[in-house]
Amino acid sequence: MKKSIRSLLVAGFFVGAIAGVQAADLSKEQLQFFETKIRPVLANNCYKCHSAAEKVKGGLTLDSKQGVLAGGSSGDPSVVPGDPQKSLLYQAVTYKDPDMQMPPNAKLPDAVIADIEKWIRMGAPDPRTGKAVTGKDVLQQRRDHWAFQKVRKPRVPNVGNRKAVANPIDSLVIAALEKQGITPSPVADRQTLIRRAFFDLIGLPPSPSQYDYYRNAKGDWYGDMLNELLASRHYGERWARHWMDVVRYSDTRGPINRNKEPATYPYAWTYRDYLIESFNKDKPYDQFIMEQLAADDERLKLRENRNNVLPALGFLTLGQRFAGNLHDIIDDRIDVTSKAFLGLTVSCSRCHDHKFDPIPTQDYYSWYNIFANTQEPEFGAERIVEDIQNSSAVYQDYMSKLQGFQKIYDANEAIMKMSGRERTKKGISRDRFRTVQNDFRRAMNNIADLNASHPGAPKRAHIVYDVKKPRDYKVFNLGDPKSQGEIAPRRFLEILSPAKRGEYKEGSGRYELAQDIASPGNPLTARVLVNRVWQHHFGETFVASPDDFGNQSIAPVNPELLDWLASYLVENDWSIKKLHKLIMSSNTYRQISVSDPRNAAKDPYNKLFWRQNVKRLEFEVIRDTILQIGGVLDDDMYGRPVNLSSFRRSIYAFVDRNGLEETMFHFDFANPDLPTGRRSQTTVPLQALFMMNSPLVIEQVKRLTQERAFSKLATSSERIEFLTERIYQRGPTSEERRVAELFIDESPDDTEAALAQSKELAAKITEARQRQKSFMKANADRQAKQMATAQREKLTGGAIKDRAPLLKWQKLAHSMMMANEMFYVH
Amino acid sequence: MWKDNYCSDTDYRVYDSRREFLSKSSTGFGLLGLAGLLGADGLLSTEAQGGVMSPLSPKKPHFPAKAQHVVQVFASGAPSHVDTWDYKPELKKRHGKPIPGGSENRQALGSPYKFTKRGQSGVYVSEVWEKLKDHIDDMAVINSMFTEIPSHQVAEVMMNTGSLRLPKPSWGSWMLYGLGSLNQNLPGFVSLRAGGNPNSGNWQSAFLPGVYQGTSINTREAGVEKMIRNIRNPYIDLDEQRRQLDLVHMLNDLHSYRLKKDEKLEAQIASYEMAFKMQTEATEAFDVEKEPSNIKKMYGETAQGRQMMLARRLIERGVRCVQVFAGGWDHHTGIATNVRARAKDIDQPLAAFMTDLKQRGLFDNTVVMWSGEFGRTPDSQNLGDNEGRDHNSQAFSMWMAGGGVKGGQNYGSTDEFGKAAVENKVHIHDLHATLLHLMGFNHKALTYRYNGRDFRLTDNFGNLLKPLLA
Repeated sequence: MKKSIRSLLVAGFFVGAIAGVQAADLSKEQLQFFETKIRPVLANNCYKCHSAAEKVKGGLTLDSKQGVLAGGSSGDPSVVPGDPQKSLLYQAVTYKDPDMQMPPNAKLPDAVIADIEKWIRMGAPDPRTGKAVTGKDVLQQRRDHWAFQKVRKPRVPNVGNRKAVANPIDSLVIAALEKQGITPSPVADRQTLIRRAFFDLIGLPPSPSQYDYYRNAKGDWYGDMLNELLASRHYGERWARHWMDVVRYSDTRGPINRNKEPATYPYAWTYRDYLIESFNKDKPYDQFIMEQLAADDERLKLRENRNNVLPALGFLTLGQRFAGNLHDIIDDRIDVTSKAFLGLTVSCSRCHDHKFDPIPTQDYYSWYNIFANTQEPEFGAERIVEDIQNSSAVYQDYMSKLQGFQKIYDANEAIMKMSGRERTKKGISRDRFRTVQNDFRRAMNNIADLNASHPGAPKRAHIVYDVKKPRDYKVFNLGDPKSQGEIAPRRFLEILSPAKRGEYKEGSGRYELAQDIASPGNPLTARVLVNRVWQHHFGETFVASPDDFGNQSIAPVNPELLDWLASYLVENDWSIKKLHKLIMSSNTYRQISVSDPRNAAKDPYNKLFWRQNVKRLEFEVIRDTILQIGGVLDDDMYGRPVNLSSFRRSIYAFVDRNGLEETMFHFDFANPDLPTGRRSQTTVPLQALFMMNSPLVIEQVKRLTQERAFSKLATSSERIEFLTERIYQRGPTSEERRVAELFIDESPDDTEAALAQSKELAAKITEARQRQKSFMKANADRQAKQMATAQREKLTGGAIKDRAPLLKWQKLAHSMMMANEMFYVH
Repeated sequence: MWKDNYCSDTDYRVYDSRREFLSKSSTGFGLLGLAGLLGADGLLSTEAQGGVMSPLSPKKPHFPAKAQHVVQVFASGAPSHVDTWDYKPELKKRHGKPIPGGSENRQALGSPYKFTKRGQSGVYVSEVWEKLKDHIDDMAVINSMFTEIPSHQVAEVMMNTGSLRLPKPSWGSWMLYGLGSLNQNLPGFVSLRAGGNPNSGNWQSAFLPGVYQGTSINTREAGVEKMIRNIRNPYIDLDEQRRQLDLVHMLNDLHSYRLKKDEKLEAQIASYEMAFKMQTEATEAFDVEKEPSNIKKMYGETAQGRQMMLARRLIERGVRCVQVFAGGWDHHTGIATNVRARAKDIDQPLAAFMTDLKQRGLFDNTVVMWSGEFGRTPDSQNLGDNEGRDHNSQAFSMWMAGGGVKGGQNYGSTDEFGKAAVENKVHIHDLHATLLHLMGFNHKALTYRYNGRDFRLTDNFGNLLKPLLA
């Protein structure tokens, strides 16, 4: 750097001389001059690139006195008090040096430049006494960020209120509460706890018999209930869906290159099924990570057949396809890997070093190279992950249909692979090519659809594998592949690695990457997972941005608890079920969700968890609950995605990132394009219309009151009890009874409606019988089709006009379903 | 300041008296009577409450303003400014050579589209705007927009909320909060999209009450019942449904009481009331098929034509803000054909919309604006016959027209190649400050207290762009 030694000496002298000058020592005039003429200029023109709060370009900060005097990475001070000519700041604003002109976009007005000169001549009086932060400090601070430090298991503190402690979670929570003079809330009543645990763990309300059992069970009924729920196969369906939000799951590809791939992922569901199974088996989280990144790697030891595990790679493959742009596809994989497992936004470093976190562009391209050396099978060659029964009729039927499409596909493939020039050479006209292209695309989509729907199509998975000869590529400057910098070797992130960072030498490096992520010593992996699990138990989190633990996140209020839980997870073989059990056994979890004005005055947002939160239920849970209340929920597991009009659980619904199903969209379903650790929660009239008018809801209301168990009840009181228990899983309060009775009393006569409904019911039964008969006659394929139609009709019950009107008890039940309690867990 | 609006005398009738009532009376007023009493704490319809202010009731702004409505056409995907509204002859001259200060590996891509001076004002307009050019004397074209992060989702939400990271209310929600709506039977802020999954951040109310949230409507399929699912109830009539909702509100009230009033629960009530009223009003408002054939022809019978026609029907009925997604501008390739194609989608519908507003006397009280979320590079990303442009957050163009806007001008400019905004640079906060001003607000004074701090649409920034005002 030019002039540097001399400037440094001078700067050193002045920093020493000025450091003792306090704001109080400045004269009123000096202060006023700074506040009116200098501070606004710095704030409006410089802070954006040179401040601790925003960017620290060139290692320079101008938002503190110290920063101004220390200067940037050139080593020269930006201001030498008393001497404008030696002050780089002044030099830069005058635009005299063509290599150093600031602000870069436009020269400041002459009057302002004169002010700056005057200010420096005055000795650069600067009242900013706030913590002195220089550019170098900022960079160091970013590295010192709490989330990058090793997890240390804190000692469990002794607390005054020992009776409130059920396990170490409570001690850690109460210790924090006691410091603020906050008292924990009492444990909720049994009905609340039953409902809370059921929705949290399996996403369904208790069935009437479960409800009856746990309401009266003796002994450790609560522990028994947790055990039953954790062992339920529905547990995996609930928690796999949370993970699917994080991994931007979709059954479609988004914008595609239509010459290379079809619109859908015909086998995305195999990844979804893998997730359900993994959660149900309580697969250790470190193994879960390894499988999703490197299930294809022979070094990865498995307890089961590799075919069962290969679909895990859907984690990487099921993102958007960006019209076939490889760089963007890789970027998506970097994004999902870093956010899901590490809570880091590595993809922000694609074009420049991360603006807030110590993640240089080099690191981005180290990961880029891992995924650039990872390949996918071409369309049609996706990996088969089950044994095929060659002889079965249904397989034969599939094969014959496939061959039909395959013939067209093969016939056109050669021309499709030619470049424009080759086509011209071979004399293939534009018109001819267009025909070829259309036929080819149609055949490809037909094959995809056949594979996605035919019961005889073998189960496959969207896998990846390593290229034969992996190599490292260079950094793309500013994200531009045409402008390349240094080689970026395949390796882990600098901030999470020891000083001597190894390189990944074998294969693409995915296996090693997975190991570094799934390492017990990684400061982020366990914390990020614990935070996600806690979020679904409390509605709130330690770190409010579950996919970003970087410098932009807000530090947890109770970091000891987060770290204690992270240690617990690792010590217990990364068992997520043990973590659930521990959390849910705490008194902290079992508190009531009712607010307390004295506590709320001290911690209005319940950041310290002195009560449970009222949690909004997700779309899937609301829909599944409605179907369960109607007694029609089809609890088949696994398999190809279904239409929302079916009675399967919502996790099996087809997810289309090209245009989400409207109801899902309006109920805040996770955006399938981006990792979404936390869904938004809105309340809009379109949700209300769904509850008020949709046949899905109303038909279940009808079914509920058509049950014999209901119709045999003689008194209003019994009926109100029945409905409240079935819909809210609790008994009615005396006020609710009164309101409901009044509603029934005031209802218009419904004799006619009842007649219409019994006719409707009779017609439905006849229809169903006839349908059954025709099933028997039809062949397998047609049967499948008819069953799909039948399911649809079972739901909608014929054309909309013919709906029989509701009876008064149904109207009551429907109102109860529309009320808030249906959407919230207490 | 707005607090006053919500605190009419009847707003806080004591819970205990109602509980007492509920526990003592079993007959008497009947359910409706009870509902009326409960309505005092809740958000039942204005009529039922006898003068209690609903949060959507019309309110007066800080100062009188011409504009009553905003219609935003949101060209998401980042339209190329140098091919649409920013005329750059120097770029054309440099075609094929690197741009100074740009990547050495990229070459300047002169716009393949011709620009011509249009209207009395002589503002340069690209040939892709075959119809919109006729309105140029009413349009203020801003050429010096810039933003922070050139990534679509983030920048889109930035454009509509002024915030990159924290969830903040969208401009439409702020308008609704400040002004209320002129029609209590339709959502005051409607966001229209013809398919796709735009981020709900673009119309979110964030920490503002949920009633100010935009209502997103998918117009991909025509017909009210397709656009607004479940708009009709095939089982019961409105009178009985009214009775059902009164019961719902009572159950909610009892529920809230048990939980000591959790704020989250309140929005639910308002949304049911709106939904109830929409069943009659929206069915009519969204039925674009009712438009006479000459009007349909003027807008063009396309998805965008339908959206703009619908936008007009909505503001005509008092809806405060309409957002129309007209995206698909992410042209990394095929600049020479794709820009024209996307422009063609919206050109006729939007021009017809402006003409229609003018002939109905609505133009002067409606702010119309068109923009994307950032711009594109003047140099080419792909060479050969498929040239495209990359993301560029340092410059983009947009325009405003209608109520209170001084048309027929360019404001601000980019450098000679269109790489970055240089003169009179306009940040999104400045745009928001100006938009609020057009609607009668001082952007520094329209605030909402949340988490112990007064928030505004423009955060701590924003300068009013006076030259844009008529």
